[in-house]
Amino acid sequence: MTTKVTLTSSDNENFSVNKEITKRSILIKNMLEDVGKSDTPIPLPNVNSKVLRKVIEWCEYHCMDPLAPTNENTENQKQNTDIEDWDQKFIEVDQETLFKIILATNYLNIKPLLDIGCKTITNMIKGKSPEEIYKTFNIVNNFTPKEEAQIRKENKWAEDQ
Amino acid sequence: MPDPFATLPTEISFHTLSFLNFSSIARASAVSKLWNQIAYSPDVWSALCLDPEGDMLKFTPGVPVSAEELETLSNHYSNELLRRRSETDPCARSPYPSHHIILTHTALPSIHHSLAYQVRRPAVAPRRSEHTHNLPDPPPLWPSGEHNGRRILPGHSANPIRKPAHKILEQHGEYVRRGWKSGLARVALLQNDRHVHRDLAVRVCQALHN
Repeated sequence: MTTKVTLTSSDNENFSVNKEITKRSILIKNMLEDVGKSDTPIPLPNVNSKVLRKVIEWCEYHCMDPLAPTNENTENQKQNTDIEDWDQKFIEVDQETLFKIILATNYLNIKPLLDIGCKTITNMIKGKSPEEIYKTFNIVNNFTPKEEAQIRKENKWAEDQ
Repeated sequence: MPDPFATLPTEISFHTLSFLNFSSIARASAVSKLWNQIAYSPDVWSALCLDPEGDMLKFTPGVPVSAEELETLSNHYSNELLRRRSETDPCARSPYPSHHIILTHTALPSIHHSLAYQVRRPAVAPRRSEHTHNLPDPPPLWPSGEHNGRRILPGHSANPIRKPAHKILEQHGEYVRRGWKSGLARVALLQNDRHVHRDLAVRVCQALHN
């Protein structure tokens, strides 16, 4: 019989989740170890139900992944910003949800999912000119013309690529 | 989409940028003041310079770096020597495109020199290239007496550095960043646009000494 753990979102929705799956979150894993056997729901005041549902969905899909990848594995992943197909589909959400997923996984300490969120933003920046970045993120260029000229001069080497 | 770096905590912004290569970070630094500040953070730069993987230099935060590792590291910064040599000997020219080589001894003589330099010149503002001729000469790249056999770096025998690796890397990142910003330095990006390859740097140094 699998043990269930109840997680309570910020908007007071309860989620009954397989205990092994909740251990994807280092925060919850440590909590469960500290508390021992307990039926008390775990409150997650920083995560709303919409985001928590997404995060649980990811954890359930990845439940067969090795729980604690070695440092080398995580470092190797750093080389590229490729995201697996399933994860790519999973992370195709509106930007508000994307930011909330990133914040939630940072809080829950689920590094592989945090990396996917960050890489999604990285991929929006990668290879783009500052002008394209302004458009993507609605950023207003707040440099003075003099500062901008200086930065362009410093970065000239990067523009040839 | 709103500005992610204005919305997300700084450490996540650093993490996001650490997946980028140098040229993308350079472009990102020209976006806005906030982006510039984040892109120039030593956290981003040290992660970029010495991302441990495969046969690249491996460092675990908190683990002291051995003298040999430091020496190998400082070998990476011998590009200035490489440049000087290539002016007289075209065969010794760097096999990497010029924009892939960013460090010179002026900004990064070696880890040892960097540390010493920082102690002597605390809180140096990022240098501009037009002021470089006013700066004091950096310590010599190759101390005298180096030619008979193995090079001995200053401070090796007398006072071995026992700083945790992450401290050194922080400073390393800071120096690379400062060097780049000054326009003087051209950071060494060997392979992959982001990793310094240990064997390669050692081979380059050996070739120069033969």
